[in-house]
Amino acid sequence: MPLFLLLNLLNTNVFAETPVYEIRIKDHLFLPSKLDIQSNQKVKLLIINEDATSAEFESYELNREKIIMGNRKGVIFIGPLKPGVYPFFDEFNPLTAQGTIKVK
Amino acid sequence: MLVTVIIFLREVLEAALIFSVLLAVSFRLNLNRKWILPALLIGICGAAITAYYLGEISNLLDGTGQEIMNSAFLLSITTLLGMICLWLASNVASTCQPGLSLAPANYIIVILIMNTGLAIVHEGSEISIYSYSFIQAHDSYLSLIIGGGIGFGIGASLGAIIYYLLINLQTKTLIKVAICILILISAGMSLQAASYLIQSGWLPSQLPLWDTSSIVSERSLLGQLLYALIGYESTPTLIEVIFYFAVPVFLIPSLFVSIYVSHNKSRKKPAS
Repeated sequence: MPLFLLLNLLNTNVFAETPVYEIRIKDHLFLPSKLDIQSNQKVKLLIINEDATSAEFESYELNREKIIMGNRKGVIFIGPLKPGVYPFFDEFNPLTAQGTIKVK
Repeated sequence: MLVTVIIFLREVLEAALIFSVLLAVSFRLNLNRKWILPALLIGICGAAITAYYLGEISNLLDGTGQEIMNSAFLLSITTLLGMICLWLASNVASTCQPGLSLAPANYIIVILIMNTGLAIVHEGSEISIYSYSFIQAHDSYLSLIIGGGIGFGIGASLGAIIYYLLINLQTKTLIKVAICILILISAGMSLQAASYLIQSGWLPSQLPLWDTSSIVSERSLLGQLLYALIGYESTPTLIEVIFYFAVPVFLIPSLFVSIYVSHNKSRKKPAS
């Protein structure tokens, strides 16, 4: 229990510093589909699913996968990352919903 | 449909593996079988409940409720599997006498129930979420049923094969093999829990230590099977590696301690 509280304290501190990027999902498309972020920095992605159906934000390169149900939001932390291009997609609509995160 | 097959296969295999190992051990060591049905019931009901409430759960903890819940499940399963391994090890000495029926304390039965139940809840909820979302997206039950059926079938068959391989082993070998498998599974789950905690910001994120995706890609079928069996991760970070190896590093010495303690105990009692 004390560990849980301690982790939460550490949590809020981290939230205050990390930049937040919003990605909306509408009509099975990611908006924006291209994102530019700084390298070697922790970043918070706020995924807002504006469709009625669930979507799964997934990226092998980023090592993240999360199902976000219809009309709900999800939070995913990424980084610190090396410079490069990291693609992501919606596993439930992989042909239409694709995007890339460019790390400089 | 391939994605459906792989997802069902992966989740079912993880649960089936735990279930077959525990089943084989339980039959060979003549454990009371009363843990099996409650475990299955708790698992299936729990999976349905968590899938039903997934929307609300996801919104908890600033949108990271799903990951935290999953890592809680995984870490609990890891701990419980560790306890089962310790208990198995403590019985290595007594199983030298054939035909000896073990009467473990009731807590082992409870642990078996909780463990298998949780494993099924975890895997089952992931399957339910995926199925619900799939049906929403594609409005087609047939593809899901066929793909899911195939994946489930393969996973369950692999589990059955492992069960039959195990049940034909000598008791002492069975215990050792079971412990090895359970340690691998626990380590994999521990790593998965770490990944979820990193994704939700509870643990710091770092650059990966290595990248073996050119050798075995996570996207390949082999990669997915290895993920289910041993928690294979092609680009692990330091924390994930620590979580993974913490399991055997902590468990293996504890197993030896457990064997030593039970060996001494059986020496003090005269052989009946």
